[in-house]
Amino acid sequence: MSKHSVVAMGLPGSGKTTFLAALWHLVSEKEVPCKLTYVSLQTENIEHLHEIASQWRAAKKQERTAQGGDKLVSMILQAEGGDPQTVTFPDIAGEAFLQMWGVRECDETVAGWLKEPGVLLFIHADKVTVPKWVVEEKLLMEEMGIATEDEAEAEEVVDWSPNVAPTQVQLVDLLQSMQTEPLDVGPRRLAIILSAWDKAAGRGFSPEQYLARRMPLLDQFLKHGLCPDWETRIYGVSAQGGEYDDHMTKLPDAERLRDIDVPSQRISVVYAGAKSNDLTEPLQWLLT
Amino acid sequence: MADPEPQEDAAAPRCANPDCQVAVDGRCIEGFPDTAKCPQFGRIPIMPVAAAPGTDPTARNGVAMQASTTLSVDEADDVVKERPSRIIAIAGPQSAGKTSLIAGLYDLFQLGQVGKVAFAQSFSLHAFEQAAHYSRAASRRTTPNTPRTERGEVRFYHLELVDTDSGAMPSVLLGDRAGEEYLETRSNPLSAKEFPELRRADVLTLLVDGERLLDAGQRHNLRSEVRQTLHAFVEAGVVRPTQRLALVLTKLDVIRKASDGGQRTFQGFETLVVGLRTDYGSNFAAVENFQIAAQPSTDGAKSGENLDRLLAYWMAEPLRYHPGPIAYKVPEAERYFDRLKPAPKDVQ
Repeated sequence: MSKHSVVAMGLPGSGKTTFLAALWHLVSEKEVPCKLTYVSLQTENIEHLHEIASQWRAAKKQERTAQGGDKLVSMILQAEGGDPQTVTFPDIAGEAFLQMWGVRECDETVAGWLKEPGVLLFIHADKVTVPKWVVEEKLLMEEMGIATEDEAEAEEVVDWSPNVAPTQVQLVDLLQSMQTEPLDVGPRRLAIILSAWDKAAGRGFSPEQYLARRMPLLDQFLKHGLCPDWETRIYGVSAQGGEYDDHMTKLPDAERLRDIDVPSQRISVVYAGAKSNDLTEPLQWLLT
Repeated sequence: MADPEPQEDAAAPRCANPDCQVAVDGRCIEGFPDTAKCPQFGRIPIMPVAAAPGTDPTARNGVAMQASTTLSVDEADDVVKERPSRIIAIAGPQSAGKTSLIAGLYDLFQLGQVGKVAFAQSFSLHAFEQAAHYSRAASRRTTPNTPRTERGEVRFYHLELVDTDSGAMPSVLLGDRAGEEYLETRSNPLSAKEFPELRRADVLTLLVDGERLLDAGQRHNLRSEVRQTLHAFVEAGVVRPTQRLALVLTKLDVIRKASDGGQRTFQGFETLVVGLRTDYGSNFAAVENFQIAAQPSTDGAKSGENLDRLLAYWMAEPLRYHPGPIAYKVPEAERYFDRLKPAPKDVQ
């Protein structure tokens, strides 16, 4: 039996845990056909998987993964006609990646996981912080007839901190770190997961087009800055299917999703013009 | 009676990030203008686990990532040794717009290719972000600003760029030094010898502050400063005939807003360019002039206007000295003995 590991990267709230929860439900319940099927589970963190999958089935938002509480889960999956493969999937808190960008440091254990040849990079398609400029906002306000404050009257100026950097800059830096010492391991496969794709899909773009329009710096980096021996695919993934309840509010969208008899049908994966419910599709590509 | 324990206000906004003060000041620490869009907003704060007794809570078992700052001269040297590069010196008095030019160019790549040039990677992302921050809405300023460059050694902003036409992929190193230091070379030209970016530059970019050129009280002094600074560089011998010179008029947006549409200022710049070309053109391989608005503060120009032309000039193949083979002639020996040569093999 071969052993493969896939590392999931992404800034806080980018959908890593939701993906894992939906994946676990999908492969364990076998409600819809998938490229990889579940053989058995090899993990010390089975409780974590049950917990997040239970939240997912109930259409409730996942709690944040606490830094230091990173969970490593392993499943044995098998492609049709193939050998069983152990897939290890560390559920790393997004703060670990913020720390890599901001403090230029990475926990030793996380650094070990980040040397895997298969990389899932999660980007929440609806929560991309894009750069905006003072002068543009000022001109827009003037056009709308809203008086702008003088500097002295304005709210306190916010000094720079790494967290205010646009999402695409932080992601370019993360990927650059993955191809330089101490994390460089040579050729890799990179599956970019544009999560919450249901919210972005209405604009009529393919995942590639959406990334190029919304994150042009990242798009340029993927085309010109990524090591030529890396392979990349961009998937649009909706692992939830819509808006889930948080602990304070019940949402009609969540009610609609709970009404779907087969929970796996909430999932949608878009790649190369095709749509499926199969979250194992990017995993299968990373593992081959 | 003792004060009652403070009760958590269930209606108050909360955030899963314990460092976020959204409940106090309404601001999202992760920079979301609409706090409700932040994925952490409204969730129970995750408190860090207390360190076990007897352990050092500050001790970390971390792996260091590569720095993301500007490069020192030695670090820039390492880049130059490894791959094709373009070294760009950006000289000009303080407030001429050197850092704005660097930040404005970087911000253009946030939106896509600049002309035919695409972004590949950068070792200076933190530094670029800091330079660009006060012109971004996230700073909550109402007028754009750029941090002043402190006196000291030159630092290089690093970009790896791709000419999508030719496929050339050089590292571009943009030198940043305090404007006062360049200005002081007028009194002490030899001090320019201490500026490695000038000697090493493929393109010497001399900035002419458009706002000062517009000001009747300052324009004559400004022209004199520019001329004398260039003269000092030439006198110090830090320019090379393989270098290109870019004369750049900055703050185009402010000039266009003048009552005459900037006509007198543009003429003044023309006159300055003609004079500098006549007097110093022979010291350079080429002299070009540009009018730019790197980070406009008004609607007088587009953000980054004409930076594509300047960047194309910077990206051109550098005219470096390529040594050819040295002609070698065996000297005629005076003694017959020394003129003896080994016999050809077939004669033996």
